[in-house]
Amino acid sequence: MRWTSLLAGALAAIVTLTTAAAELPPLANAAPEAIAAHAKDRAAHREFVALRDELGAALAPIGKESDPKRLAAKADQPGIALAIAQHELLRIAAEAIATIATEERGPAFAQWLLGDIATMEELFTTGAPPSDPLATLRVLFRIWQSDPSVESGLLRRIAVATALEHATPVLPWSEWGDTSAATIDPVRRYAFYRDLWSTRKLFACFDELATWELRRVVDLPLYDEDILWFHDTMPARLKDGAPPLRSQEEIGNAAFLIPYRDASPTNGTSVQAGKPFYDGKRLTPAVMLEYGGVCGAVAKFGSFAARAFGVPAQPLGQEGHCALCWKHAATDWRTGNCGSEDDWSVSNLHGLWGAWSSRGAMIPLMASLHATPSFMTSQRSFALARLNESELRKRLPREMDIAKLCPTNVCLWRAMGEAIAGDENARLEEIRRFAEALLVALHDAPQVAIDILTLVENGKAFRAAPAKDRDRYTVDLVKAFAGAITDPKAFPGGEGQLAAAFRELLGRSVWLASGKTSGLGDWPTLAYDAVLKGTHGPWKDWWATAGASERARVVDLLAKVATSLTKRPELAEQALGRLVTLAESDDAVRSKAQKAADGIAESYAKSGKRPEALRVYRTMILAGERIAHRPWIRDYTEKALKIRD
Amino acid sequence: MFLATAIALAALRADVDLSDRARFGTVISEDALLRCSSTSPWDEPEFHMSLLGEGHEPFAFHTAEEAQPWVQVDLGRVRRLTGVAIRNRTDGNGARTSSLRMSVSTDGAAWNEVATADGPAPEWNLSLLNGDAPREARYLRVALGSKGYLHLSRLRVYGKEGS
Repeated sequence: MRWTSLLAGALAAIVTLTTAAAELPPLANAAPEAIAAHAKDRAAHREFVALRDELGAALAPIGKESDPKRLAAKADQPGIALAIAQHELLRIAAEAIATIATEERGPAFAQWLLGDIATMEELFTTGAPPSDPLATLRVLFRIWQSDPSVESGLLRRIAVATALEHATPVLPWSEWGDTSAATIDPVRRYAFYRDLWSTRKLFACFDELATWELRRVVDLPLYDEDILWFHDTMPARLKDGAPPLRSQEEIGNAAFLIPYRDASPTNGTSVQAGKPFYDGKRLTPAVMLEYGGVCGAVAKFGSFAARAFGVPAQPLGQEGHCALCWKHAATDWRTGNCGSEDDWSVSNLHGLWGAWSSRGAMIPLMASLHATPSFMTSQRSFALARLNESELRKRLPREMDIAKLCPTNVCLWRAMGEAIAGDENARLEEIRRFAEALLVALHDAPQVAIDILTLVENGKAFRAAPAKDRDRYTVDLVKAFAGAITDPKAFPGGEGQLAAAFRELLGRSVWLASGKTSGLGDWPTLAYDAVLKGTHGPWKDWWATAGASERARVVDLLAKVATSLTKRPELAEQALGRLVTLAESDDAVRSKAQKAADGIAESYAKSGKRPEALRVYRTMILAGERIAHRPWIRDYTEKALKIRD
Repeated sequence: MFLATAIALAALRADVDLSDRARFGTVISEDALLRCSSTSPWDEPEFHMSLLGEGHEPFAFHTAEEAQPWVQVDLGRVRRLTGVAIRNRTDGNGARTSSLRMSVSTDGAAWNEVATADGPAPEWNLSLLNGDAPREARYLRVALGSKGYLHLSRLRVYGKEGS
């Protein structure tokens, strides 16, 4: 029976392969079923490259539509949207799909995949594109083979998330350092969460999680039995009278079940020693709870507990510290165990989002983006437009127009940034327009924008531009960002986060004006802040040996920012604060700082902000004392006393 | 070396009459420059200069909490110092000033400690005379010997002109 079936299948395949696939139907107003049927036909013939080329040729004329709104309307037509998704998948992974299609049931998998727009789009929009498409699709293929229910709904989303997260095998944290240990089997991981869900053991929020969120669940680096330990062992409350710990809102606070210890309770070994702290035991959650630990154990335990109950979570790296975040409500993520009030802006995701950005701000940005209906419209429109390659100066303005369909679509800004960085002929004026538009568009997540700017500025075109022009560019960017903030109180995380973001932007400008090009490590917010404060070692060394003209570049930059942000005096003050520290023995610098201070204070006074104006005068008094400059002390003391009256 | 000649500020405050012009000269700090080791949310720098004049209550400056906070007077050139009058913070927090130390310097780099206090007091009137000879210094620094806040309401330096 088995032999008969196989033989019949082989004969059918031969017949299929020798029959030419049908023509692609006209895409305009095409029914998605027709587009899917055509792809199915091509897949049966294993003609994936041909399908890609065919789709590209048919979509390119549609992509010539110059009006972004009309382009978007076309891109959202169901048949065209499906064709775009197929083309995007095949553009990246035609060879990978062709490889899988040589295996038993491979063609059927390819047929399903090429007919499922959500799966195809999620492969590229729930994080940076897979670095190894074949590995990703192979995991998805295995899961698809294991469960006939995988083709739709939540199970499909779990499968896609698992494929993306486990394309690179995940070694459980409990086996840290043991490269011979078994990695987590992706098919088992899929089935494990499927079964927990179907037996109602996960929190209700799990039912509605999007694929990008499920990725932050199924990536849990624990064996199944260690995940179940949380279900069997975790208390209902953190302490008597506290809110229920076993809830989506509070689950991350399970972190605080961990006793905070920096020396082993059994052998006194430092927690920094790793396994010896735990007497060499396997690092299970039970062992973590028994032995305790410091911030790393606290944050990991909390994020493990959340994910064990189906709540998206992850640890957050902070300089010298470890925090965590979890999805505590329907649309919001919360941070926990943070070292300061600056949670997202000083957090690093350790490459979790691949090439996109490692900034903590990516989490709230992704949450907002995936709740924006125009997100996928902008993706599709952009992909359509890109089918008509042309030189950057013609293409870029159009792509920036398309990005306006969903201004916070970081994927598009990243794609444009990569194109600029790779184009030696890009002009500084084009880069400036792009950068300004980027900062305005991502003004709620400026640090993510800064990562894209760094990418562009490391390109040959920017580095070849004259220093004077680059300085003007950085000032323009600071002004563009300041202008985009219409309500500081509405900035995500509040005014403190805005100030931190602005200091990073300004510190980065100072860094660039100092002739530096390389980035500043894993925690650039703090590093650029140090540059701005003058406490950054390499920058201090540079300043100590810099010539007059080199120093003048930095001073001019700060003076321009401090004097030009008249409508945003609280941001201008940040530049003033740095400028006065450089004013020690230079009359010209003192003059610029004084002009800036007077302008900022006047701006405050005009809008009735006397305490803020007083703050500026106090800055100048203290600066005068520091550099022993009597006129500042005398004049600003007088002004301060006057404004107090 | 100078530590050996340190004077206990608190013990001497009742014995020194800095108004004795023949011995202590006049106040020479009214046009001096002031500098503090740090500032704080309670600091109001517009009153800093009052420290060297009529004073300001309850304090004329207020550092952050830090290790050995200080306030420094720059007399503009090396002068002949005869005494110092310090008025503590005038409200309930004057007790924080419990480990006051005073140093002088001619160049702002090398410092000689000339006095320490053995506890808080409302005022300290200190002779800097070495016998009858004034001390030569341009800078005078008053600091806490430990971690804390420093806040004073008045500080006057006495000295004599000529050699």
